[in-house]
Amino acid sequence: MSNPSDLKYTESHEWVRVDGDTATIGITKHAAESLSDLVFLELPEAGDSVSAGEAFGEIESVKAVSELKSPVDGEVTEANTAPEDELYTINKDPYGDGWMIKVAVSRVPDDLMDAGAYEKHVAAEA
Amino acid sequence: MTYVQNTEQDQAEMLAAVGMASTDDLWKVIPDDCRFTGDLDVGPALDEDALVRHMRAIAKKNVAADALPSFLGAGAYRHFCPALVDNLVSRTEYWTAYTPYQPEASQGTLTTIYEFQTLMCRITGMEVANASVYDGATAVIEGVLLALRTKKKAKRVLASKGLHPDALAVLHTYLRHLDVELVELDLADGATPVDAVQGEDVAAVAFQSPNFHGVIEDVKGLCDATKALGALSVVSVDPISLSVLEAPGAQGADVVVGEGTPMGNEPWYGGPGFGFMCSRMDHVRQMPARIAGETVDGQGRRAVVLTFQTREQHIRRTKATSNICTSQQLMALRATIWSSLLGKEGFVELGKTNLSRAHYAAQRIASLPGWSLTYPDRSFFKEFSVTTPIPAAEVNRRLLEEHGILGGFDLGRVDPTRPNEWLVAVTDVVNREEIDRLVAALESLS
Repeated sequence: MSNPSDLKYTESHEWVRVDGDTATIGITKHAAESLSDLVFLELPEAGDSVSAGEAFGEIESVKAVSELKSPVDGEVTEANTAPEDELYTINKDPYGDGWMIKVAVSRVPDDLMDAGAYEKHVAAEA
Repeated sequence: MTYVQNTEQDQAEMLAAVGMASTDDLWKVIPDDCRFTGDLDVGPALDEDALVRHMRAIAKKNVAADALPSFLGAGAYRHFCPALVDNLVSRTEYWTAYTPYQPEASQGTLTTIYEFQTLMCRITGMEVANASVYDGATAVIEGVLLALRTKKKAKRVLASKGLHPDALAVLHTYLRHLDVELVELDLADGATPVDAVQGEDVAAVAFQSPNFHGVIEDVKGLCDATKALGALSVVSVDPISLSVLEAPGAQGADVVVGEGTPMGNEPWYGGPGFGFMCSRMDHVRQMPARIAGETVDGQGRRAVVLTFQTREQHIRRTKATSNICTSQQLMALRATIWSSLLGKEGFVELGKTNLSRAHYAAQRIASLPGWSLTYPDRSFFKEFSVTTPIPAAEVNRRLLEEHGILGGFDLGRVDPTRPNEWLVAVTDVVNREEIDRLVAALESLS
């Protein structure tokens, strides 16, 4: 699997890149592939607060609607509101242009997984 | 229903199967002080012939609304319904399970849902309709919940006192346990004042037009005032009224709901009915229940599927959009057939008949000494409030006993401060001669 080694991962298949006070959050390649064709994405607005383990938005594919859970505590500074017909960006580039929100971090939990642990988690779920 | 025997031998076998000696053992779990142990006051057992006679005698005490001139409405109205509706709705093609989860096996049912949605959008002037909900009252709360989900941070709901009392009661039931404040708006001269639509933190403004007192509200004014607050308007309508009144969709409504029973269904015994719910595409993902959508199959042929199953209970459980993930399919199908038989022209003609008969009746009643319209300066469609010289309850009793006429709704039943207000519905199933009979009867009462 090609999960970047500089990211942290959650059991619910989100990734987070912490760079100083800023965290960038998205869903993993495995999550995007499992959801298949995406049709709708609902994200919070700048200024909304997020908490680790709590939903910050939802993502809908032709198969299911899932909650997006924040890996960290903080306040949203920016949301990647790609138009609906460009949602395939998330499938195509989940760790790059497919990012979802940027957060001013107040807390990063200790129990986030590194890429190796996440890959084991995915294998165990299969 | 088939006749099922229940002999002593059957009972003994069933008791043996569950390891009990007598039927009394079955009731042992019920505490003694909760159990009635005397003889029921139902008289001695009757043989079949005597029982049929007895039941017929009781049934004769009922007065069916279609057996005499009826001016009773208050949310449940009778309108012309061609016999063809009963016939078509009974076709075996529609005897399918009500939940068409398998599109490959349910194109017939799904197509009727799709047609129903199209029809409701055209009548209300809205962009999207669902496949129906339980009834008019639950449709109102579903509209309000849609607004609360959309305006996540707003925690207040304004509800006009012109809403049907059942809809208001359901709003209270649902919102009581949520972190939401429900504010009721008083009526002024029978209508919701546009300047009452104000305040901070408002998610939804719900009102009905024509309202419970029959008064046509300033739909555009109320919708504009709602928009100015950043809230969503939830407008409850009588679908029949939209044959002659401007569609709420053209007046800025965000959500249009209502009781659909007047379309091709009867009041029966207060149900079953169906609620309808329409909105704009902006809110489609917050629409509860099911929506049928058109697509193509693997070979490119037109097909209809349930489009929002992903948000329903069987997939999302507690996170489903609504705890109502169903539709009143058979009743909505009646409405669809009924509308297709009337056609656009027939629908408008029906509305005009209601309008002219109700206005004729109102004019005649208001001309009687001692009788007047409660809101003479307001507009109405097929129902209006009359201020009576004697209590409305007394009017109804004497009309039924002395004249064989089913009177209007005694508003004192829902508001004890209004014993002399009488809500009169005049629809197309009441003709001019029957209206004249009512007026002559009223004249003799006072």
